[in-house]
Amino acid sequence: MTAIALVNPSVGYSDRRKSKPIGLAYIGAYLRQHGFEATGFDFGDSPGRPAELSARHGLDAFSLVGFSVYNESLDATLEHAAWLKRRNPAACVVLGGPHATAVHDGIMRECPDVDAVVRREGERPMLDLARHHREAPGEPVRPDVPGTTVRLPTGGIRVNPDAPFLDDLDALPFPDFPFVSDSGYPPLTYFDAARGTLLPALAINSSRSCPYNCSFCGVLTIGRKYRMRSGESVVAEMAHFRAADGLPYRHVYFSDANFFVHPRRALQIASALHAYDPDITFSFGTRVNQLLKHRDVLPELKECGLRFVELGIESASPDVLKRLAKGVEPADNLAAVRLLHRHGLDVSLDFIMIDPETTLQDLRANQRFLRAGGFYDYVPHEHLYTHLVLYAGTPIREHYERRRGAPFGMSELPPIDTLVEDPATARVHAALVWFRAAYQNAVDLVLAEAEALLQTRARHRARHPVTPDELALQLDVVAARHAPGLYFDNVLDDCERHPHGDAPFDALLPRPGTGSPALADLLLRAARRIDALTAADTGVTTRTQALLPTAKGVAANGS
Amino acid sequence: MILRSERPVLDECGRIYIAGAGPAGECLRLNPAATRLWRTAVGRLDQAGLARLAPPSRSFLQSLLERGVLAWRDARP
Repeated sequence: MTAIALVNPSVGYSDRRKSKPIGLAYIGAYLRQHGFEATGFDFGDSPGRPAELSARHGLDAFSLVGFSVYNESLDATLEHAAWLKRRNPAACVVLGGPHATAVHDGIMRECPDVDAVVRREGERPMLDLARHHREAPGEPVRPDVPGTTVRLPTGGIRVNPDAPFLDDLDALPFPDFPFVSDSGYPPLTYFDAARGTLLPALAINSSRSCPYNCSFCGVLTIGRKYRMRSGESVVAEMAHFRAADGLPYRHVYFSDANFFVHPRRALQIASALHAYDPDITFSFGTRVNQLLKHRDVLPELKECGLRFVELGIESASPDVLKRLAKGVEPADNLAAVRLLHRHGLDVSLDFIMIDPETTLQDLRANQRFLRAGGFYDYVPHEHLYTHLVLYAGTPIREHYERRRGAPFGMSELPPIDTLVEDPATARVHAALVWFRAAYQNAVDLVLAEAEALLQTRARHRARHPVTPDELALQLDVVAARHAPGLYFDNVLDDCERHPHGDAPFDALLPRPGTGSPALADLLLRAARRIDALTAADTGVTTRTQALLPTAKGVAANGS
Repeated sequence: MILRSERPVLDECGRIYIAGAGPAGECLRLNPAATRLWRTAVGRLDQAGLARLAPPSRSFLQSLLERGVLAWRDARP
């Protein structure tokens, strides 16, 4: 009997956007298709220590345990593996995923509790390992499985050739594989502003990899061979999960690394979904150059239900775009945003505000782009706080290793504040980190409560005639949306005037909105108006007050 | 008599926002061209000035007049 566990390890903190680990789900479904039942464990948002989680879920009862590993979770994975091997030395521990692929040799050299690393796609190598494990229980891991790096009985390490890519994605089973999870999964939804309706949504992956070579992208580690599914297969997956989950999914988030590589294929999938159910809407992510090159397809995609495109803009600085190997100019980014807006399509912004070599000039370019693209009204405000993450196996990580003259550790994700080279940029970053800690939660709360209230009132206008309080709240919402961007403006101005200045960060707070109130006063004013317009006592004022810096004890200077 | 806004307005981040001016009484954000027009017209333009505007600008302001977002008011502050 081969007892197989597939584990998404804890990263030590809670991820509020938790979703199923789709790579492991594909492997679990593939094993089942070939006669192997596995048990899935998703510890992705568990704050518990790996040993405690392993014990609680009895991982030592499994004889073959596969872990999906990201940079953030390698250390936790190795703690799981050590616990497991102490209690069940005969268990076979296998690591896979993008990070394990990137550092497979280091893992095998330095981590004796690991028996094998599966590189790139996991389906076939895991099936081969499972078959061997069933045929020869208690024996060492099979030494010659393509796509693996294995520990030999002699103690040596063998790097087998890469496994061939899975070319026929339509032949794969749907990723319908359950996970034991501490918290379950929040329902995936999409608010369709065009219809004023919250829709149940499904994430579907319709392709693998991406033919481009953005220098920061972890997808590079699994190879650049782009493979695609057919429209019929995508429709069949939608029908499958509608039946299996008993939910009338009406929006598809295509989770492909790059959905829009071949526009005719994108249109074929969109048309098939539209023919299956014309009420289905969808969204996808792609690159700016692809969107501009194939702009002629956009009207048809919109006709088939396209609502927004997640655009890998990343930066508006020509120097940063070169470092990131985006292959586009800043003007292309703005053109792509305007193209989508002209078609009445929304933009979901992928942005990297700061990389280690970012200068004030680069940040000014980002500021101009955000202004010109209308992103001062955009929420969430994450784009202001994002920074480059140096994932293992990416060219940009190697660039910074060369720049500092030493490699990073195998599981090291160097914090951006240890990498930023320009002192003025470091100060901008510190100020944004301070603002996020001090005010962003209160801004988010007020916006979420106010926008839900205002949307409801607009949808049922006959029951809720416009009042002076509502009009005032509408403008407070606009001002709250602007606040983080206006703070960014003030910080840039200050850093330009005083590159080595030490003004307390709260001296740079904006005063947005009618009457130019202090930011805390604006948020409290909006919260009071929400409470006044709401029949039930929602306590927004009290909750907002509790999130403000005075209540949280955040210092004005960021200390 | 000059054009005045009948609704609360915010001029911030390069755009004009007009509370309650949307079709369902929601906040309306003007695009850059309409923002420029608003700034030059509202609080300044009289009826003769409106008549001299290019047709697209004139019809935009007239639509706001018809919806009660703008009104002719005394020129004195």
